[in-house]
Amino acid sequence: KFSPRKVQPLDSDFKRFKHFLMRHLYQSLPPGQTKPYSYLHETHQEIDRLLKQSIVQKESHSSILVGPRGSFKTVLLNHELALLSEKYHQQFITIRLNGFIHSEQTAINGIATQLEEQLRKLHGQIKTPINENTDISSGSLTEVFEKILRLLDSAAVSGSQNKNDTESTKITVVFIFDEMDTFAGAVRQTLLYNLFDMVEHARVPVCIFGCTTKLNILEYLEKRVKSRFSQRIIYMPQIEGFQRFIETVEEMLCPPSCDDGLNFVKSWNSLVHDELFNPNSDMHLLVKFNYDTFKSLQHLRNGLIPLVFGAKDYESLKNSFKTCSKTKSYNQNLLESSIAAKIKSLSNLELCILICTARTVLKAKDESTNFNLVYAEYEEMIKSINRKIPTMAPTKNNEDTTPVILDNKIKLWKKRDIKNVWESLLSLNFLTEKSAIGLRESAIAAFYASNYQFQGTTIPFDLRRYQSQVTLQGLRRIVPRSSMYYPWTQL
Amino acid sequence: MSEINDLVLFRDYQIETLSSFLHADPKITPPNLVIQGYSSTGKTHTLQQFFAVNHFLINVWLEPIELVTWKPFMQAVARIIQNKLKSIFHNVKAPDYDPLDVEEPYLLVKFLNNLFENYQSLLQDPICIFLVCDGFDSLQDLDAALFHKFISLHELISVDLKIQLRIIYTIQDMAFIERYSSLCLPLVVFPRYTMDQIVDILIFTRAQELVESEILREKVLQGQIDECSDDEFLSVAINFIKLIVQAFHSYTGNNISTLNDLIDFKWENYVNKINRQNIFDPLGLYRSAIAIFLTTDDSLNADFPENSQPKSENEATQTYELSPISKYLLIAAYICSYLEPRYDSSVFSRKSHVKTGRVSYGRRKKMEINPRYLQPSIFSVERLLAVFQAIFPIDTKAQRGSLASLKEDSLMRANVEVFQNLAELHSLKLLATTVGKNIDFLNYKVKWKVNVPWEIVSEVSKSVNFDVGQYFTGEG
Repeated sequence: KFSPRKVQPLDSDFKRFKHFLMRHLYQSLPPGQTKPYSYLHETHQEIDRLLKQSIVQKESHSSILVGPRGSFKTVLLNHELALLSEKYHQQFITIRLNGFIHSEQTAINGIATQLEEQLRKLHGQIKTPINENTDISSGSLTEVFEKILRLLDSAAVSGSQNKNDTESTKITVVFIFDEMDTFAGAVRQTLLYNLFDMVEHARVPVCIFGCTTKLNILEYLEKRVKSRFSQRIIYMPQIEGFQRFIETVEEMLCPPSCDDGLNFVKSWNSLVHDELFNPNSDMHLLVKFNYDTFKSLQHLRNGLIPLVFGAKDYESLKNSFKTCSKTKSYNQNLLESSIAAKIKSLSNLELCILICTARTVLKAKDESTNFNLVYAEYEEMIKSINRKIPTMAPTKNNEDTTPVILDNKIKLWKKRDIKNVWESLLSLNFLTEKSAIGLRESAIAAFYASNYQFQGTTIPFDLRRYQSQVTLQGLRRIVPRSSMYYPWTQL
Repeated sequence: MSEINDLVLFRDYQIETLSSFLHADPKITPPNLVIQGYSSTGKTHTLQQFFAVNHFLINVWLEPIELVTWKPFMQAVARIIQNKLKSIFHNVKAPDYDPLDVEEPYLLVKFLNNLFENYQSLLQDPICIFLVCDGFDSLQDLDAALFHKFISLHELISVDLKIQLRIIYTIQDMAFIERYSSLCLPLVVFPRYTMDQIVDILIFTRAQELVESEILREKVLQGQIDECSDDEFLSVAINFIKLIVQAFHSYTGNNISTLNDLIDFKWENYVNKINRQNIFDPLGLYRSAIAIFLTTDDSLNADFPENSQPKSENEATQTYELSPISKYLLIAAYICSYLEPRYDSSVFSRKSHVKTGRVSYGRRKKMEINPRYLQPSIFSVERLLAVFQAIFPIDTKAQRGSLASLKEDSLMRANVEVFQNLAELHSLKLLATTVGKNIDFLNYKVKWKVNVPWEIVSEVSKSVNFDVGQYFTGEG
């Protein structure tokens, strides 16, 4: 059945093109060759201006980027910093903090280690003898914080240690906060306070970028923190209109043609253009569908990568781009664990129990059920199905007049056996414990929950209350009409 | 690609998609890749085969289920990556970092940064190291923030490093992934197998093993079935697998491991039924081995009712070896939990009335739902003792009308033993109270309820010849 496929050596030119194209899709080409999408142009300019002001002109700035997930906040910042580091390599250091990984406490250590590391790189790997000034990240937390503050506050960075340094200018420290809202929590906000304070008062130029997804980020900030913040909030632009979206998709798909030796680029770009703007092409429909539902470039890109990588040569790339079958099957694959797909993958008995569950839930006032009730419903249902099934059939044979006894009844499984089915429905998430809190938001909450013995675990198996994830109406739409249990999908 | 399709069935799309996402070159590999599939959909197997075929991809495996909380998890990440790099580049003199120092998420970042930096001069081109978190959502103390920590690790590790970490997560629960859907991580779904696919997979994985099993060999030698070729043995095994799936598919669903268990349980019995006549006659063999396809026998207790077993022996084995007082207490508790207190007097009252007064009428109408299906309701301990006294049999030793009978109680009193048994029932978790922690039994606020299902109570009552069913017939 599975004949080994012959692996053909790839045309090396095409291989290079494919690699180039993949890198373009992942935006991992060298910074000179990547271009942010044009709809981001103004934001890009803004960030560029801010960064240049603080790196070149040594001003202090703070601003917050607000935008939903996947709106290229980090990408833009990284791109801009990569561009600037080519030109002004010695002028700045970057410190990255992530609200998920750093807490208020560990962020201080995080800053110190990165500061130390970056300064070491900047000063050309020279191991300066350990003294109090260079060894920032050692010591207790308060010491470290003191040191950082002193360092940043008093411009000791390039001044005192590097007397032989010809440049007398200060080094800009660029802070990038991801998930800034986690630092702007309910208590104290010390870190943000100190950093924003630095923007106002320190002699070291500090540039702070906070990235967040919360539109009301200013309401998170305390009064004293807010007053130190420059009030500059950059809202990430959204793609407006389908025309703009499709143009952006074209940008995403078309690598810059400036590259030499890649003779496919031109032909590819025109192919992409033709296909995208032809309203009847599969690609156009796919993009339209994405625009109407997700409106997400990343989602589209994920689907395009198997398409691009799966091509053996340029012809097949062209063909598969025209049909888009790979992207379609990627999108289809994402739905194969949806509730509808799960219901279709159930065995007869499992489906039957699920229907019984939905029936008992619908009957109950509090929309919950337990194993006992479901089994009683199941018993009743099978009995009433079996009552309607004829068990006798006249023989076609004329000589023999005794009717043939047919055993085409539905098997009524024992309560003990149904328990297995019940548990597999549980593990497939068709049932959830009544008023259960599934995943806790933070590690602390998960810890508290693990120390608490819930009532549901102490009571007997068949008395536990469950809620159903599918309603009977929902089941009726998914269960095929040909199914024996279809009539039971309504009360 | 071609090799792996021979080893993994029905996962062509998944393999192809995996191979388009996973490369040695970090520039064209996404930092995070999610693989979703419910249990026994071949996630781990496919991924293992994928890395076995593409052996040039550096990969390390972790099973979060063994690591329980996030801290050991992160330490294991640090340890396993360091060990792997050491074993691959053993000529590099790299300082050892202690993975146990990783006590915070940011220390993991620091650890990895330091670690990768040691290999900076060694490599020409950047390469990927793949960390497979096999069953990320099976970590016991999982919380919603942990996955965010892992997927943003790559943003904090320097991009200039020659070794780049790429993480692959296998996750069972789709609801977990849907929490993070706005991050648009590349996702490969492993759907559940269909019944036909399962038959093929089981034949592919098990048939040969069954043919070579010791039991079959012995049976063949004993029965002197010498006119069989290996092909025929194989068809016996394949036939058995098909029969098992047909018989038990609705019971197991599309779960390969459960079916595998059933194959293991029943193969021996099946082989025992083989003889010279029926080895070539699948239908005959099925008929002679019909018993094993009718019940699942999926229980470790030997006492479930079977036709072959004599009835008397069955009754002798009781579910619990409790004292008679405990048994009656349990029955009384069950009655208290499931009968309403307002009908108690009509059910239990037997005294002839000295004073005048009406007796309770009892329930007028049948209840709609059998209350035994629902959770037990709570009662006070006094009610339990009253019902206990009403149902506990006491045989009077003294003669009727004698002086001794005046001294003797006709009813059971709540003596020390009763309370001892009551406390023991509670510590055996057969009775439960309303509050769990630091419970004060002497407090009047404490209410009780029974914590055993109907099946056990009816068995217990049978063992003391008490018909508990009669109290519930009017309502069922």
